[in-house]
Amino acid sequence: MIAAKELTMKKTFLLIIFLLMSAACAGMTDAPLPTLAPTLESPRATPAVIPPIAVTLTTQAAPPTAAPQNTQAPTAVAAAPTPKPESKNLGQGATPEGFFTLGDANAKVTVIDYSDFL
Amino acid sequence: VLTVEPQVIEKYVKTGRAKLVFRDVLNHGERSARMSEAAACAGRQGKFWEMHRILFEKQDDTYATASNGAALIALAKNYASKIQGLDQNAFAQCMESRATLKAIQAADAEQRGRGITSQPIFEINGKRLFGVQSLDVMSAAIDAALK
Repeated sequence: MIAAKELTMKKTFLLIIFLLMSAACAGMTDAPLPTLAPTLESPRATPAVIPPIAVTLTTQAAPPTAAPQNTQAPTAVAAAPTPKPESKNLGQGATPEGFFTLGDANAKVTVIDYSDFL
Repeated sequence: VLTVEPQVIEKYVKTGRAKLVFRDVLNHGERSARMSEAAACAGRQGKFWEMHRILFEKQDDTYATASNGAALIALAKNYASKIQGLDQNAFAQCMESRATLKAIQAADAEQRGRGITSQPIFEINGKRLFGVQSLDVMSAAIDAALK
């Protein structure tokens, strides 16, 4: 009987120890988890694989955007002088000899166009 | 004329830095004379540059028209009808009377004496450029003259 009791007590003791160890181990597994979590997260976050994708997209989007920009640039340049007083300077007139002129009579430069209408 | 000239006008004439003068060169007989007259007749009503543009746009039509007075006057009247504000009767009378022909022929003769026998020729403050020019070449010449 005593032996059986002792056995039961030993079993109970072992069980308690096992439970305690399990609890301790569980505590330990909890502890590293937070460590693992960031480790896992960082590789995911690091999969800076996403940024490259974004870059790729940007690069792909760039050409079509760049093209119209280039097209607009000359337009902007061409449009720049337009705001100046056109009507005043674009007057039609004639030289003293009777040749037809376009522009400011006092302009610094005279461009004579000798042409046939054919 | 239809590509570079508008750009020269935009860049230099509209900004008051240059003025453009047109002088006729008569290298294609009756057609040249009649179309120059058309421009001059429109010019008498302050519409020279409107007719100038039409004449260059319609060069193919002019080439395709018979080289005789009646056909070319009819063609000129057709071109004139596209110009808003032009007195069509006065234009027709100008064309039929050939009121501007002598002056045009005299100018052409005077120019030929100075070597203007082909077209186009540009004189930029006296410096000559022979033949069709790109905007870059025209700009370089005008910019040099502006300095």
